[in-house]
Amino acid sequence: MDQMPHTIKHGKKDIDLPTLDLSTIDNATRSFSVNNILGEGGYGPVYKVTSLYLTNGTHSIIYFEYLSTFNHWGVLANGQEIAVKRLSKNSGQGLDEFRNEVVLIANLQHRNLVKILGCCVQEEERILIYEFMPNRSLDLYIFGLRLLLRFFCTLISAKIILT
Amino acid sequence: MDWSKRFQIISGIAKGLLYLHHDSRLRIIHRDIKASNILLDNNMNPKISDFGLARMLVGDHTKANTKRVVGTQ
Repeated sequence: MDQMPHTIKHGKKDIDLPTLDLSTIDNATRSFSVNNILGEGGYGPVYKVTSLYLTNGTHSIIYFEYLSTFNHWGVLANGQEIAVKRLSKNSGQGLDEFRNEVVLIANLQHRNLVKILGCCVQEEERILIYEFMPNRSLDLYIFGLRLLLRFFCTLISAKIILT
Repeated sequence: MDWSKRFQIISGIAKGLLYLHHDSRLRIIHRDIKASNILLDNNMNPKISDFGLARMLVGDHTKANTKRVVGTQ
């Protein structure tokens, strides 16, 4: 996180949040590669496609794995692991939430709040960068069984579609 | 997961909320607290995430009329 001289302006006050270059994030997530996907965003269940297709003669199986609400993970040049939340380009509601999150979380620091490392507002992109949490989210531990069930349902329907 | 870990997670979330509500410079209500917004680090310490729906209270206010029901599934 060396190259971050800018800060975001909000009203008269400067928010003390580093901005990252789009190319840095692009490198870290290997151009937002499919292998780095963590989830699809905060709306509804989020899955990671682990191995895209495993073709064994007759059917192809898609594996889904439940993960967190973050879009991508990546590794910065200095080896730090990051979670990346990327705003989809056509959601107006998301833009408000993005602004809200930036303004609020940049002013907060506590060991029980997730730490935001920076953001990226460049061209059409609105991206938030957080520290990566290796143990995912609490719902996986509480609803693990239910999620497993949903996983199998998805697996079965994927199988039906593909065969 | 054993009970000491569970308790550590519960009290961690409560500490995070206490910070948001009382101890931080801003007074913030999160409005979307749920298990999937609690992330866990290496040592299973909980971290509250996703402030997209959160609200800031101004001045001495301790209540806000949020009118609409919000939240994500």
